[in-house]
Amino acid sequence: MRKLRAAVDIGGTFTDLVAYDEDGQELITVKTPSTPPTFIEGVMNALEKAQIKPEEIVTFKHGSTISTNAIIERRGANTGMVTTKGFRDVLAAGRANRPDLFNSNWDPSPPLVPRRHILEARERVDYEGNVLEELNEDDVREAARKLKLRDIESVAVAYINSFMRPDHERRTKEILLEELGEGAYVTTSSEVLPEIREFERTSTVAANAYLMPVMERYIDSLLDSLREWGYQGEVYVTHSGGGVVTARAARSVPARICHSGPAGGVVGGLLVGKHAGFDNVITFDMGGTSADLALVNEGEPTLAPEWRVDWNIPILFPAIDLVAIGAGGGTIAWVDTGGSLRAGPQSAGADPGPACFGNGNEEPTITDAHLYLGRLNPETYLGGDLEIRPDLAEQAIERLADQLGLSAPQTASGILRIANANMTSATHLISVERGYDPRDFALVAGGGAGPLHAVEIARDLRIPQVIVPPTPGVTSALGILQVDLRHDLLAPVLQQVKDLDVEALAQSFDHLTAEATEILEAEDIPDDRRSIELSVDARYYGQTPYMNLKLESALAGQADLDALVAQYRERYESEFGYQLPEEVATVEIVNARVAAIGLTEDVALKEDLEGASADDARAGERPVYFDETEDFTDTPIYDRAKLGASAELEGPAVIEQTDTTVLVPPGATAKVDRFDNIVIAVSASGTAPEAKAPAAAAKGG
Amino acid sequence: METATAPSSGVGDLRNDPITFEVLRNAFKSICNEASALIERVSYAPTITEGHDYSVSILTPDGRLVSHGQRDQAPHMGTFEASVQNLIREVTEFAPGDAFIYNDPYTGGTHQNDVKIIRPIFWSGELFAFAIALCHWPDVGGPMHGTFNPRATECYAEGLRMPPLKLYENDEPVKPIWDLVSMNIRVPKERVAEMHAQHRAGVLVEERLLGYVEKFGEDVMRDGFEDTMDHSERRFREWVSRLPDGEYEFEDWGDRDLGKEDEPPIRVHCKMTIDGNQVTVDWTGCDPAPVASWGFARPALQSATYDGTMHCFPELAPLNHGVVRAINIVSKPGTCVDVQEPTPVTGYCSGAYEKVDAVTMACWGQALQDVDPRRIHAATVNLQNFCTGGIHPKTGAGFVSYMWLEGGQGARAYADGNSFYMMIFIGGASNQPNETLERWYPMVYTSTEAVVDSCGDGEYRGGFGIWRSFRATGDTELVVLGDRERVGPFGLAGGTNGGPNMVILNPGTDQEENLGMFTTKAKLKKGDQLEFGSNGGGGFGLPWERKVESVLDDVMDELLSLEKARETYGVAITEVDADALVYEVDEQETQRLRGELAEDGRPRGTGPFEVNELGEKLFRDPGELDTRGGTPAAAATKGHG
Repeated sequence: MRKLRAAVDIGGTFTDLVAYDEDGQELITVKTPSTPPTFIEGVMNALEKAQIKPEEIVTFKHGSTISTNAIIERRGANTGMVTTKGFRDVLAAGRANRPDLFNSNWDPSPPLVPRRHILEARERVDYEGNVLEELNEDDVREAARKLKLRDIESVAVAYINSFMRPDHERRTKEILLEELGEGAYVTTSSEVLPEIREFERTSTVAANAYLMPVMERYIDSLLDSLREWGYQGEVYVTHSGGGVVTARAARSVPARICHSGPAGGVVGGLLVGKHAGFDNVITFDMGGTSADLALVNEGEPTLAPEWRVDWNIPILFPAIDLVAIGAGGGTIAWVDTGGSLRAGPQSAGADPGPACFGNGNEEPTITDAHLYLGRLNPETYLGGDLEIRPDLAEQAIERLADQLGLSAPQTASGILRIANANMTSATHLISVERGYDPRDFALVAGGGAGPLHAVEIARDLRIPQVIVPPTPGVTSALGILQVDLRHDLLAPVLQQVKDLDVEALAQSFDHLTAEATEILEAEDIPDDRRSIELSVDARYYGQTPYMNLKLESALAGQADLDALVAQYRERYESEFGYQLPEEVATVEIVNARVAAIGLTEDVALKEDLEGASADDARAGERPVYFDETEDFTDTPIYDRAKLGASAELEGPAVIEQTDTTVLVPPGATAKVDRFDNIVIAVSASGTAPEAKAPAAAAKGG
Repeated sequence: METATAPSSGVGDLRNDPITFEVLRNAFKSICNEASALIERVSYAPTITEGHDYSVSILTPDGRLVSHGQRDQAPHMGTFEASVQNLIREVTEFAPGDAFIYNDPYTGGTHQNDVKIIRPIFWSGELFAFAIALCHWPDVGGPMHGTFNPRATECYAEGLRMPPLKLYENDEPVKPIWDLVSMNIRVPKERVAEMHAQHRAGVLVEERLLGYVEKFGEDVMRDGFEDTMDHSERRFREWVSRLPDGEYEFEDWGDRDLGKEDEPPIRVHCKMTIDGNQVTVDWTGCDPAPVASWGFARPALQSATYDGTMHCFPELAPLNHGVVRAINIVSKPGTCVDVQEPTPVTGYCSGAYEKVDAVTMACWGQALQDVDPRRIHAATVNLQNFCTGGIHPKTGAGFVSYMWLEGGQGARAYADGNSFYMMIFIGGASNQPNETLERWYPMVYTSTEAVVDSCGDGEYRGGFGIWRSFRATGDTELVVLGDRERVGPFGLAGGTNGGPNMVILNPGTDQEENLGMFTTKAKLKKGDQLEFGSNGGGGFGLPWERKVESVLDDVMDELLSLEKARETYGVAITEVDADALVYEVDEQETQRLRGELAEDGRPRGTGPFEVNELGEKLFRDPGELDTRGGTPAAAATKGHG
C-alpha cells in the first residue's frame, strides 16, 4: 500500500490536490472545480479523481479561502462585543485614515460588529497592567442578557490595555459563557493576540468572533465527510503565517486561518526553488485578476506582523509579507482623457473575461495583448476547453491603437510593458527596499500568466534566473504539502533595554515555551519533530514598526542583551543606511515571541534522469512579437509535456502546457532540470537589455 | 472607469512615447511612496509614526511639482513649489550631498512646525531635480508647548522660523546649524530621528531617480517630468471645458478673530470663474487678515485651492504642476488668505485652510451639479490642534504631544458622510492609539465614542463626530487651536451644519468649563478630566426626505436620539424594548410630522450659523439631481484593497 501525504488547496474556482507518495517519491496532481458554498464536495471529488484510498493517506493538510470569503461576503455570525466603558467606537473609528488622499467617494467597509451590538462594561487597566477600576460583573451580566435577547451567536471581548493584564477579559468570558449558555462562542482580544494598539487588537478579535461559528461548521462537516469516506487521521488547516494547525486548534483561532492561500503559494515556490538549487527566491504568482509577490531569504519567507482583509479591517497575526498588485490576465487597458495608456485597476476577471473570450467585454486585456502578439495558442489555451477568438482580441487592440496613434503591435506590447513595470516596482519594494539584492535571487513564476512576464521582470531587476515548475497551477497545494505545523505565541514586553528586567523577560520566555510544549503535546507531535523558536520584536524607542530578531536561546544576562542590541543596530543599518546614536534612541523590546513548530518531513521529489532533447518536444512554430526586434519573428513552439530533463533551448521560444505558457524571449536560454523545472537564464550574454524600465503602483491600497 | 475618449489636445503632445510616459509617471509616484514609507518606519513620536503627518515630493530644478506620495498630506505638497522656488532665489550654489532645512511660512510654507529638508539631485554635474521630505515636528520652540499659539499677534511669538539653511554637506550634518535648531526647540533629541529620516528619504529619491536616468537617459527623464505635468493639465482642462461657463460664488466663516476686542467672525469668500477650459479662483472678497493666528500666507492659499480642486477631480492624483498652472488664483495681500509677516500663522490649518478648501469644493460643486453631481460634498470636520506638554511625572523628562481628532465627513449628494473620518485635506493621516499615547504621556484616556446627534442633517446626513477624553495623571499644559465651535461644517441643498467642536474641562462637576477652540496654557492638574468632541459633517438635502429606515438605523445604533429623529427628521419612533432592539415607527404620525416640516419649508436650528444660506440657495435638491451614475472617482477606488 502507498503512503500518501495529501494536500488540498481550495480556491474560489478550482480545488487542487497534490499527493506525495513517500516511497515512490512521486507526486499525484489533480485539479477539479470548487463547489461553493460548502466546498467539501469539491475536496471529495478531487480525492476520487486522484484515485486515492482513505487508508493510503498518512497526513491530510488543506488550505481554504472559506474564512477570508466569509468576511469579504459578510457571511459570518451575528456577532456582539463587550468593551471598556467609553470605548464603544474603537472598532468603527479604526485609524480614521483613507487609502486615497483625494477620493471623497471612498467608503470604509462596514465593521464586522455593528455599533448596536457593542456593549460596555466598567473596568480599566493602565498601560503597565495595574487595575485602575475593577471589572463590574453586573455590567457584563447585563450585556449578556441583552445579547441573548438579540440572538447573538458569537461575542468578542476587547478591553483597553488587556494585553498587559488579561484578567478582566478572562473573567468576562467566563461570565458570558455562563450566561449565554450552551453553544455560545466567546473570544477575547488577549487570548487571540495580546499586542498593543487597541484598534488593531479589537479588529482581530472581532474577526475571530465573527468567524468562529462558520469555521466550526465547516470543519465539522469536512471531518464528517472524510470520516465517512474512511480517513481517520489528523486534518490540518493552513494559516496566514505559512504553517498549519490541526482542525481542532483552528476552531478557536479562525482569524488565523484567513489569508492562507497565498501563504501556500509562497511555501510552494520555496520548495520549487530548493529543488532547483536556490535558497533565495522571489515568488511571483500572476493569475486572472492580480499578481502576488513575496520574498524568501535563505529558505525563510519574510513575515509581516499584520495584514488586512480590507483597508479598515486589519488582522494582527503574522502573515507572509505579500505584495499584491492589480495586474492579471484580465486587467483592462484603456486610454485616459489625457491621452495616456493605462493598465488597470479595472479587471474583466474570468467573467466576462478578456475580449477574446467573446463574453461581452470588448476592452483589451493583458491576455488579449499576449494573444495578439502570438504568445498564446488559441487552440490550447487553458487546456483548449474554451473557445478563444483572436479576431476579437485584435479588434480590441486596434481600437486602442487608433486612439493612441500607435501601431497595434506597439500598443499590445506597450500594455505589457506598463504591467511589467508596475510588477517590477512591486518586486523592487520587497527586495531592494528591504535590503536584499535581487541578483542573489531566483524568480519562481506561477499562475496562468506568471511565466509570460517573468523573464522581463527578472531582466529589469537583474535577477539572473527564472524558474517555472512543472505544474505552476498547483504551486499552492504543493506548498501546503510542505508547510510545518506552527503556532505563534506572544507576550508583550514594551521596555527599553536600559530598563529591561532580563529575568522577567526570561520568565516570559519560560511561560511561552511551556505553553508551546503543551501545544505540541496536544497536537501529537513526536519529540524528534518538535522545534521551539524564540524571537523578540525590537525597535528604536519612539518608532512604531519593529523588526523580528531570532534568538538562539532565552536571554541569560547582560551580554546576551548587548549582543541583541548590536544585532538590531546592524540590521537597521543594513536596511536604512544609518544608525541612531545611543544617546538619541535606545532600543526597545516590544514583544517576546515563541513559535511552536512541528516539522514536516521534506518532500524529496524523484529525479528525472532521462536525458532528452528539446527537438523531441517541438510542436511547430508561429510568428511571435518581441520588443527586442520590434517585430513578429517565426518562433519555435514547444510542448512542455514532452520536454524532458536536461533539454535545452534558446529564446525566442514559447513553451505551451495545459495550465500556463512560458515565454523565452530572445537572449534567454531555458534548461529543464532533473526535477522537470524549467530554469531560464534571463540573459545569456550577461548584459542587461535596454530600457524596459521598472515603475510604479505601490502596495495595494 | 473614465470613458476612453480621444484627448482634446492629442497624443502627439507627449514628448516620450505613451508607453514610456506611463511607465515613468507611475515610477515618480512609486518613488515618492517608497520614501514616505521610509519616513513612517524610521521617524519618531506618535505624531509622525502613528499619525502620518509627513510628505515626500519630487520637483524639477526650477521648482515645479512632479509627484508626491499617495498618502501624504495635501497642505504640505501644495506649498512645495513656493519652497523650492524661494530656495533657488536664496541659494545660488548647490552641490551633490547638500540638504537644506527650511520652514519659513511666508516665503514657502504652511506653518512653522512643518519642517522641510530639501535635497538637490544631480546628474553628471547638473542639477536634475529636487526632493523634499517634510515632517510636522511636534515642537519648534516658542512660548507654547507644541508651538501653536492662539494668543500670538505676531509670528515672533510662535516658534523658530528658518530660511533655507544648509543642514547637510556631503551628506554629513552641519553641526552649527543643527545646534542652532536644537537649542531653540523642545525635546530636540527626538527630532534627531526625524532629521535622519527626512535626509534618508531624500537620498532614497535620489538613488531611485538616478537609477531611472541610467536606464532611460537624461533627456527621456526630463521629458518624462514635462509629460507628466502636461498630461494632468490636459485632463484637468478637459474637465473644466465640460462645465458650464459662469461665475460660482460661495462663502464660509471662521468662528472669531481672537486678537480683536469683539472677536468677530472671519469671512472667506470665493468667486470662481469658468470660461471654456480656463478657471480663475478669486479670493479678493475675503476679510482682512485677522490679528490672531488663523490666516495663512499665499503658498498655503494655493495649496488649499489645489486640495479643494483635487477632491472634486480625484482621478487627477497625484497633484503636479500641470494642475497648478491651470488654475489662476487671485488674492489680495493683507487679507486673511494672504497674510504678511508678522501676522501669526500656526493656526492656519484649522483656520483658513479648512475654509478655503471647503469653499473651493462648494464652488466646483455648483459647476458640477448638471455634469456629475456625485462630486458635490458638504463640509467635513474641522481640524483641532491639541498640544500637551510638561514634565512626565514618571520619567522626569520633558514631553510634548501633538494630536488631532477625526470627525464627520460631509454628506455627498448621493450618500451619507462617513463617521469618524479624518479631515478632508489629510486623508492619509491617522488617529493615534490611546494605548500608545498613555505609554508616552501622563494621561489615562477615558473615551473613544460618537458624539450623539452631531451629524449635520439632511436627506443624506453628515458623519458623526467623536469624543476622545482623558484624565491627567500629572500636571500638564494644554494648548488648543481649532475652529468651528460656532460655525459648524456647512450643509448643502437644505442640509444643516454639522455639530460643534468642543473642549470641556471637568464636565459634570462644579468646575466644569468650556475651554473652547483657542485655549492657551490651560494648566491641567493631576486628576483633571478633559473631553474633546469633534464636528459632525454637514448634511445634504432636506432632512424630512431622508429614508425612514435610515433614521431608524441611526436610532438603533444610538447615534441619533429619538427627539432629534422626531423634531428634525419627522420620524416618530417608539422604543418598545431597547434591550432586544425592538422599535416601532408610527407611520401616521411620521407622515403628519413630515408634512408639517415640509410646510415650514426649511430646516432650522437655533444658532446664527445653523444653515449656510448660500449652501441652501445654490444647490439643488437631491431629488432633482441625477446621482445614479458611477463616477471616475468611484471607479478609481476599486483598485484599492
